[in-house]
Amino acid sequence: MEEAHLTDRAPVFAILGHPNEGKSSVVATLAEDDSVRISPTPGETLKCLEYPVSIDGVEVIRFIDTPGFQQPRHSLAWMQNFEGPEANCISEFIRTHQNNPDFSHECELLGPVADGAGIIFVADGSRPVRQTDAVEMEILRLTALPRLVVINPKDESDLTYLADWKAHARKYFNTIRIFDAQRATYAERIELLESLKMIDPDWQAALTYVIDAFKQDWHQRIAETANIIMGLVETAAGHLVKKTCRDFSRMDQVKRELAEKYRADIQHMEQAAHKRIRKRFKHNIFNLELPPRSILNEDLFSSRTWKVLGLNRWQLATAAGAGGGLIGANIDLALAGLSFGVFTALGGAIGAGSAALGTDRMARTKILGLPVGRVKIRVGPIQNDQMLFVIIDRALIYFSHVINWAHSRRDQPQPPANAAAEEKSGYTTTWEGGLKQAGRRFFRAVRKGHTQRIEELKPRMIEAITTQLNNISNE
Amino acid sequence: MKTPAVTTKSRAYEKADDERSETAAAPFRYGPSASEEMSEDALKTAIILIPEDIAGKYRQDELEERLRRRLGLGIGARIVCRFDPKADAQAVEETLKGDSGASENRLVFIQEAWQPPIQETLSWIVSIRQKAGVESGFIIGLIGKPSAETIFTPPADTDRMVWAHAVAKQGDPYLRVEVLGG
Repeated sequence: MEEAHLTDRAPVFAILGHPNEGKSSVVATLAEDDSVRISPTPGETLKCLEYPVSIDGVEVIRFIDTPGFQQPRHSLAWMQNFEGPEANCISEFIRTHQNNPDFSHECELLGPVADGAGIIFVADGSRPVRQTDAVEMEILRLTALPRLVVINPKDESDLTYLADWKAHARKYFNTIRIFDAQRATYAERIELLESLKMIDPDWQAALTYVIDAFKQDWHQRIAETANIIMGLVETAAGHLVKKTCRDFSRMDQVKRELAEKYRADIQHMEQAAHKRIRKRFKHNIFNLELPPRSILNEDLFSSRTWKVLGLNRWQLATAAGAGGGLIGANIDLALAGLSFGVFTALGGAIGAGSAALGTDRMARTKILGLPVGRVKIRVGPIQNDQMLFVIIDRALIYFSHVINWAHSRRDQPQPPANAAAEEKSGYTTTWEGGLKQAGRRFFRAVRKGHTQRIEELKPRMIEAITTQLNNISNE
Repeated sequence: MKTPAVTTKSRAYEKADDERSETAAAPFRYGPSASEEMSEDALKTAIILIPEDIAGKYRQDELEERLRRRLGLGIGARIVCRFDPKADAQAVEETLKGDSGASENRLVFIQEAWQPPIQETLSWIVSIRQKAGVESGFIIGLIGKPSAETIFTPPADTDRMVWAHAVAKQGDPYLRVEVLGG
């Protein structure tokens, strides 16, 4: 590695440690890069790999994943016997051992250190401290470079050794962070970057810029996510499918097909929006796995979704009853091909009765008579405002999973601490009455295609969703 | 020396010798044959190499029990290793020269399996092997992460396989991995 390579540009940090301690996981999470190779087999990283982070095309920080130590005791012994200037110790070590295959790992991992990279030493805090660890930490102390230790408990259930790790690490590092690379949230990632500022005053300005850039980038992603969610709501709220039926005997069949198509369309819209949210947070390679009990595993139209995120049956009945009064003379049918024999007629009372039959009746199926013996059947748009709140809630829940799915993660996550709360109700249930009312007005405007009204009401909706996204980020 | 296979004999021995659930639940055995375990006098002994990290953190009787039941070996001598190849090899040499009581230059190295087999450890093993003689048997006895009660916990399957693979790569017929914990 050329010397100028590291000094002219953004701050560079080498991630060092014993094999299989989670170095690659830390890099993946810090750099938000799920392409980082993470292997359960120790010693798989043979060469240093760089993971630059760029904002608007400009590299702002770079992390270097390194092979684990293979000859720590021999290396330390050599360094302790080195009689030249201290500043030359590492580069001289590399020069001396570069043709010795036994020291190929050490020469490789110490390369960025010789070039002046900051050191992030990673140790698995869920196992005991051993002499080898002390030896490796001593090697890094001898470099006299800015350094920080990240204690990464690979087994989150075993924190027996954490205190011991801290006590030992203090002898060699002035900054210690506990950082669970597989479960780190956005806030914890920023905290770790803040810690890097502390280890060398010379880097404070550069790292402040990096952290500010990360925060701005995050806010940008939040704004984009809010727009994606609003876009989804607008598209779903106004969506309808229609078909002309000439054969009256097939009318039920056509209604069923249209309802299925309508349902598939809305689900497709939701999936596409979720995918876009995921991409905003740079989860490109590995599928984000949802916790087994997540409501997002349920169909948008399932009764469980509605039980959890929607209103209860009594509230549903009341809500639809209110809507029923507005339905007027339209002939409404139940949605989703489940109970098409049920018609509602005029007035609020019957509307309420219909809603109480189940959670499937969100959209209107209209049968429009045509003069030449044909019937045009139309499904949609969504009549029940709660459906749109459910769509927003599901998008918010999806967002919370995305941001808490660390880029190093390859396995099934444990449910978050607030999973139980999530299962009980959606985020929008905490919205104050005025805001919910504004939401309903917005939905109505979308349904009716009142462009001007939509534009008037949209900023408040976006603000509400953005606030909610920010709250989730900081949880 | 080849790895002892799982046999009906060793299982029968387990039942007759010890009915504790701990041993009954062990996944597999490397116990001595019935004839070997009949008499303490017949028990072969070995030099036990113990890393300084775990020296003094186990009960002597538990170590003896593990070695006897898992490997069919008694303790000839114990050496606390600091992974200084010269010093440790010298200690082995001196022990062998003296009256170590170890039969057939047999060595057992107790290794925490969660510590990956780094080159330094493997080279150290080679240096000890050389000092003990090329046909000396060298067993790496794997244990898991220590618990509050014992250091002889079972190693994780992945760790055991990593060690087995690393040892196989050495191509040394007198070097083998056994499970000592669990």
